[in-house]
Formats: sequence, C-alpha cells, structure tokens
Amino acid sequence: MKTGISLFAVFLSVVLLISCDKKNVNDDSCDNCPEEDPIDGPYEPEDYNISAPSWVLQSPIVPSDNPMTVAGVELGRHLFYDPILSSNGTMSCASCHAINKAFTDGRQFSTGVQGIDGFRNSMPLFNLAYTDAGFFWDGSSPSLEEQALLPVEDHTELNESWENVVSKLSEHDEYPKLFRAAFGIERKDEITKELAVKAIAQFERSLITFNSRFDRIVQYNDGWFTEAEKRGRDLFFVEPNTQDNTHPGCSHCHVGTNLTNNLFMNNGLDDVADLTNFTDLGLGAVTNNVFDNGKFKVPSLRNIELTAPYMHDGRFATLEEVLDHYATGGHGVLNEDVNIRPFPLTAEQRSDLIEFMKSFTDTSFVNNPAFASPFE
Amino acid sequence: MAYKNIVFFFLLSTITFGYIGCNDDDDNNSGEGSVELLFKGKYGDQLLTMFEDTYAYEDGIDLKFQLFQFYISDITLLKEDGEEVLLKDVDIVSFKDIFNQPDAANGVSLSLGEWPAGNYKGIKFGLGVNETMNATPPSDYDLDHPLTASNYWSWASGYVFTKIEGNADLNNDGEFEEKLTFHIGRNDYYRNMSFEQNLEITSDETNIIAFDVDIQKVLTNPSSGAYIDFRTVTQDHTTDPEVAGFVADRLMEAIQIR
Repeated sequence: MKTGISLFAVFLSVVLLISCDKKNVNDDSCDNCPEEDPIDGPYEPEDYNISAPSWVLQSPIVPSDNPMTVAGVELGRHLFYDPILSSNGTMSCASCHAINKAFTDGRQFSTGVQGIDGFRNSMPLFNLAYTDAGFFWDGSSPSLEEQALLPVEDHTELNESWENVVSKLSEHDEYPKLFRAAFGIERKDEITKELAVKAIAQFERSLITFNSRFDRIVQYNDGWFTEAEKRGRDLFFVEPNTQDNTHPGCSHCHVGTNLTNNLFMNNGLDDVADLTNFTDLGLGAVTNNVFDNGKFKVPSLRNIELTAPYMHDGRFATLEEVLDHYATGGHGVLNEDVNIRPFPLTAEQRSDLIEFMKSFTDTSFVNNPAFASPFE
Repeated sequence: MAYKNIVFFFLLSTITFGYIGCNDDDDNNSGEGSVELLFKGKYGDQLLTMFEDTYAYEDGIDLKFQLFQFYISDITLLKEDGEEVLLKDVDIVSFKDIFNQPDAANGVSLSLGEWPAGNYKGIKFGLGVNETMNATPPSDYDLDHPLTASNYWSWASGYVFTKIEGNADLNNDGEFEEKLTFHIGRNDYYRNMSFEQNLEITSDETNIIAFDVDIQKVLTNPSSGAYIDFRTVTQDHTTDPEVAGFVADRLMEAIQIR
C-alpha cells in the first residue's frame, strides 16, 4: 500500500512537471535528421539598417521574427531576380517589378508564364517598410512575407509549386550557402518556403526612395522648383490654401512623406447602381463589408512618372487621364471618398500639376546597384 | 503513520505547487480594477452608424456619415481629495467601423488598463491633442499609437483633432451627392472637459465609464438655432475660424456622461 501511494505520488509529480515544461511541447530537436547534405559556409549575421533621412515621419516596420541582415537582403535580392521561382524558368518577381519602372512593369495587367493576364496592375515596390495597412491593391496580405508566398503558385503569375522551388533551391550550387549565411541553417533540408519569403521580404523592405528632386528642394534647400512646378505644387497641396471648393486637393489622400495616407478608398472610378455592382470589389472582397466594396489602396505618388499605367486596373495610360478623371469629381456613389469633388482644370493647370509630380521621381533609386539584379 | 503523513504532504505539495506553477494567469491585481471608456454615438435619439442610416438635418436636408472621430488627451480620474490619476495621455474615439445598429448599440470602447480601486469624484480629458503632444510628429510613436501619420497635417505640424465626413441630400431626391468634410485641428481648438460624477472603481472588475456622443449637437446648436448650413459650407480644414470654433465648442456639448 505504502509503495503504491509512493509510486502514485512520484508518477503525479512527473506528470505535473512535464505538463509545466512548455518548451518540450514544440521541441525542434531532430532525432532522425539525415547526416548528409550539410551546408559549408559562414554564418556571421550582420544587421541591415534601413537608412532613411531623419525627416521621414515614420519608423520603418520590421517584424521581430524577420530581422533584416545584410545576408538576408542579399539572398532576397537573388531570389527576387531569379527565374528559378517560375515553373518554366522564364520569369522572376522582377519580370513584373522592373527597377527602371520603380518596380512596376508598364503594362495594364501583368502576364504570367502561361501567357495569362492577371486582373490588376502591378504595384510599385518601394518604402514598403513604412506601411502596415496590408499589401496588394485590396490589402489581402497582412505582411510582406505572406504576400511573397502567393505569386509563385498563382497560375497567372509564376505557376510553380513551392515544393519544386524549395527542391530546386536545395539542389542549387549557391543557394544553400546563401540561405546558411542569411539564416544560419546547417542542412539543405532546412531550406523552406518560409525562409525564402522572409528573404524576399527583407530585400523588398530595403527598397527605400527618399531622394527625389522634390525631397532635395523641400528638405535640403537644394535647388528650386520651376515656375510651372510651383504652380503645380500649389494645386497639389490643398491644406495651406484658403477655403476653396475648386481646389484639386491631391494632398487630402497623397499626404505625408510617403505621399499616401495608407488607407483604402473609393476614388470615384466607377459609376455603379449600388455597392454590390463593382466589377472588382477590392477591399470589400477581403473584409466582406459591403461599404468597403470598390475601395483600393491609395498608392504613394513617389516615382509616379515611372509607374504608368495607373489605378488598380491600369485603366489610365497617362497622368493626364488620371487628372481628367479626378476633375470630374466621381459619380456620387455612396462610399466614394468625400474629397472626390469636381474641380476646374485648365490645360495649363494639368500640365503644371504633372510637372510638379515629376519632381517625385528618384533617379538615384532606380539606378541604385544595390537594388538591381545580381545576375547582370 | 508518519510515513503516510509524509507521503500525503508530498502529494498535496506536488498538486498545489504543480497547479500554481501551471497557472499562467497572474491574478495579482488586488486593489485594482480595469477601466474602460465607452462611447456610444448618437444622432439625437438615433444610434449613429456609418453609411447605413439616414439622419434628418435642418431645412429638410438628409445626412449620411462616413467618418466621425476625435482625439482625447490627458484622460484623468479625479479623486475626492483632489489628487488626479492620469489614465492615458492620448487616445482616439472613432466610429469609423460602426456600420450597423448592433455595433452602434455596443459603442466604441477604450481600454485604459488597471487602476487603484476606490471612489472618484469625476473624470476629465481634453478634446484634441494637447499642445505638447501636438508638437510631436508621428515618427515619435509606434505605428499602433493613436497619433498616426494619417491624422497628421505636416503643413500645420499638428494632428487633426476631429474628423467629420459624410454626404448630404440637399433636396430630398434620395441622392446624397453633396460631400461633407470637416477636419478640425490646431491648438486654438483644443478644449478641456470635466465631468463631476461619482465613479466607483471596483477591484478585479472591468469598470466602464460610459458617454453618449451626439453628432447632431456638434453640427447644430439648438439653443441659439445656429447650425452648419451644408448648402453653403461643405468642407472646412480649419481654414474658417468660425466653422472650426463652432465644431470644437459644440463637441463639448455633444459629449454627456451616463
């Protein structure tokens, strides 16, 4: 009897102690790991610091589970430009996000490896570390890491399985070393799609543009606006002006150092009978809130000169068309943003506004070798 | 017998310590209760929703709303002995996600953490962002902080204290074509509010301090008969002192403690 009680007590103690040891629940130790396929090469992680000027009115967002390192960004750059991510080895992320077009592709809709068009315009990639509002035009991806997972397996884009991608990367001569340098893995079978998208996200976060002529003039008193640009500036920035219902008011939405309010809005593109009639529901398809139908992300206007065509569906080929649309003041659809109001726009005013917006172009960004293909 | 006692004691200790050790919840909050501010949006006697409902305004004008939000600063409980307990420096009351009657009935809550239990004689806060914080840019704060870039005017180096956006049907044709935008900021339009009411904060409970916010009272002044005439004014970005002052002053009248 005594022995029974003793054994029961010891058993209970052990059970309780084990149940309290949470570290054992998800123990990553590997009892049957293969001895083969070790990766040679150094793992000496060096922090990568996003270098933005002090006047940037936000701090970059870097998730704690994916801190940026020099090697991580470099691996991401390789993956971004490498057609190894596509099913037939012909396309990479850069196929639809070209550096000379501020990481867009100049097409209304991007065409994937099967020759199939997508249904939205390629989004520019820069200053992505300065938004937490959701990625894609409809905000459907909450993080860059999650966003980067999707194009690989999308049949209208790269049309490849991540299983194949990981296999190709593991068998590659260089990638295992790059993955080890970035993440400290020791064996090839530790290469995963999660690590791949972390690296791509790190590279994308490194794409910083704050050195346009507009920045140099406004922030550093380096140079002057032309007379046309000055007139355009006064038409763009509404707030300091007096009460004026006829002002274009671009800066209601394209505001702050990144020239976007990071919100999702209906900018008056479509004249629909009711909110369920949008061809593309945009944010509403993500939130299932009918009042979000027809809302899309307000893009930054940085490098806008390089990112034609415009809007989520690339319907406008030129900035002239964009301004003509806004001058009409939308269609009075219920959830149209309240700042979409008609305004008079002469040919000279339109020209002035475009001249001013061209000052947002950052040539040092699109010519930065750190952001260019490592294979050229 | 002694052996049995030892075993029993060991067993009891193991179970007790095992239970305590496994319990992640730290209930060590004696003497404190959580404080929550609850704001219920109203339009007169109606609950306030965005987009969904129509509200009868002056002169036969009908309104729908898209956004109503305002900052509150220096949220402070007032003790009976005169001492003040600062609950939070700044937060934002926003009805932007209130799209239906059930959500409107629930209201908008701000959780302000745990505070000493006891009796308080009132609560006070500022409407807007106080002058010190209003001089700080959004880059000083994390992105989940209430002071965000989307509510910041770089041209005025300050935050938009109050935003009212919506649509008006001026001629009762069912078309809400007139867009309304009223954004009020700048230090001149910061207002202080104080509510004297016995507030008991009970330990280990969520203590809700509830307010009604009547947006109709922000736009109209029943006492004087004054109101913002949307036939002549549809937007203000703190450019007309008369309009900005009206909204700032009326917001004080619109907030009532329950």
